[in-house]
Amino acid sequence: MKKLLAILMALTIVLSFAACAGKTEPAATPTDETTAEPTAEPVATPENPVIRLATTTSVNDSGLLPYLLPAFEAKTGYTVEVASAGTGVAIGYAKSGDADLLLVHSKKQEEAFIEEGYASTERLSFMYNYFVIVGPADDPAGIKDLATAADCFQAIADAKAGFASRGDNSGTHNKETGIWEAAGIDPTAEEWYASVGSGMGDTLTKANEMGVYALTDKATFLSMKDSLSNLTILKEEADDMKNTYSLLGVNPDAAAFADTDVAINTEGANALIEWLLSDEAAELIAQYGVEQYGEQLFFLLDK
Amino acid sequence: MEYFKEAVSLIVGGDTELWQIIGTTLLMSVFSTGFSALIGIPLGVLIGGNRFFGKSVLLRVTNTMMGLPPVVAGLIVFMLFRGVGPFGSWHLMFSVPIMVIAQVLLITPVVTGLSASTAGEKSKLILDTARGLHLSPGKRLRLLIKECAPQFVSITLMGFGRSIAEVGAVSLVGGNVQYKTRVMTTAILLEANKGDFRKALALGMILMLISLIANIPAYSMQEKMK
Repeated sequence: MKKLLAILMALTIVLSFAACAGKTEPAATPTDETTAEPTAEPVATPENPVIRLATTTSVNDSGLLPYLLPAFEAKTGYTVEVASAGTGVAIGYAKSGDADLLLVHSKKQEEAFIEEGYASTERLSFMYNYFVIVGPADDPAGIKDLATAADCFQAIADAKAGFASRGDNSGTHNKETGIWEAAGIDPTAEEWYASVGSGMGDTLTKANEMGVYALTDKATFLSMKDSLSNLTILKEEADDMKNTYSLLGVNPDAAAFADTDVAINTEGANALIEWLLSDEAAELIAQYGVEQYGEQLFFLLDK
Repeated sequence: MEYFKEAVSLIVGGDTELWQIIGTTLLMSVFSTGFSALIGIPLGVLIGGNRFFGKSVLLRVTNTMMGLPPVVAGLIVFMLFRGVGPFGSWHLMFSVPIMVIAQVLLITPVVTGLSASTAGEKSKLILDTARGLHLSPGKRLRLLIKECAPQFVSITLMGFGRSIAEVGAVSLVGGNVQYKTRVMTTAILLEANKGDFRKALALGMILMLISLIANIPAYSMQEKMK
C-alpha cells in the first residue's frame, strides 16, 4: 500500500510538472515576439507587470480585445488579464478590488461607480457603436421602418411578438430597460417577454431558437451570424441606440478598500488607458472588423 | 463524425492555446483531487472504521455536504477570497490555486462520505477475522486499509471525474481568464455562448478523451490490488 501511495504521489508530481511546463510555453511567446521585433524599443518589464481588466462580453467575446491587446503587451511588457462578464458583474469585480480598470458601457452604472468613490479617473468615453434590434426575417411586429428603438419596442409589445432579454444587469440589459421606459411599457411580467439571465451570445442563441426579437450589440451579432440562421438585423443606427464604451480606473484609496490588502495596479491601469486613448489604438480599432465583416464595428468618439 | 474530425484537427492542429488549456485543466484537477483524497480518505476511514459518540450526526453532515452545489461552493470561496473579503490579502482571485480551493471544498465531502461508507462495511467483515487472529488495533487498521484500497482508487477517480467536469465553481472564482484560468469546461461554455457549437462539442470530446486516458492506469492499478 505504501508503495502504491508513493507511485500515486510521484505520478501526481510528474503530472503537475508536465502541466506546469505546458503552461509556461504560451506565456513565453509574447516576450519572444517583443524581442523578435527589431524596430521596437527595448522593453523593460514594469514593476507590477499584470493588469487586471474587467470588461463586458461585447468587446472581449466579439474579438476586439484579443485583437488589440497583443500590440499593447508587446510594446510595454505588461500582461493584461481579461475577465469578461456583463457590465454589472465587471463593476462588481472592481468593487471587490479584483480589477485595476474597467472597460464598460452603461452610463448610469458608471456614474454610480464614480459617485461611490471607486473611480480614480473620470468616465473616459472613447468609442461607440450601435445596438441593433434583431428578429425573425418576416418581422411579425413590423418594426423595420419605424424611426426609433422606442417605437420598435412599442410595436413588439402591441403585437406580443416575443422578446428575449439579457436580464443580467449588463450594459445591454440596462440599455434595453431604458428603451422600454422611454416607450412607457413594463414588459417584465408579460408572457411574450423572456428574461433569460445570460450573456449576449447565449441570449442570441435562445432568441434564435425561439424565433423572437432581441436587442444586441452589432459586433457580437455579426461574429455569431453563422449560427443564428433565424435572426436578421431589422433596425440599426437609430439615435436612441448609440452604445458608448468608457474606461474607468479603479481608485486604490476607495473607502471600501481601507483596512484591506487590496492592491490596485494604478500604474499599469494608467498605461493601458493611455494606450487605448492613443492614435495607435484608434487606428487599430477603426480597422477592426473591416476585413472580416466588411464594415467597421467600433467607432471613435471625437476627442 | 464531422465533430470528431474537428476534434482531431484541433488536437493535431498545433493550437498552443488548446494545450495550455489542457495543461491548466490537469494541473487544477490533479491538485484538487489529490488534496481531496489526502484529506477525505483518512477522514473517511476514521469515521467509518470506528464507533464513537456523534458518528451518525457527522455522517449526516458529510452526506449533506456531498450535495453541495458547485456554484454555491464557488460563491462561498468567492466571498471569502475577493479583494475586500477576509482572505483578500492572499490575492488569489482568478488564479489556479483558488480554483483548487473551491474544488477541494466541493470534492472532499464526497470522498469522505464514500470512504466512510466503504470503511464501515468492510470493518464489519474484518472485525470477526481480526478477533479470531487476535490482531492489534494497528494491524486491524492496516488490514482494513488494504481491504478498501481498490475502492479508494475508484473513489479518487470519481473525485477526479467531478473535478475535471465541473464548471460552476471554477468559472465563478477562476473568471475564465485566457492563458491563466481557462479550463476545458469554461472554454466549452465560452464557445457555446459564442454560438460556435462545433468547437464546443469538439472540446467536449477532447475532455472525455482526457478522462479516458486518466482512467486507464487507475484501472490497471485497481486490478493489481484485488
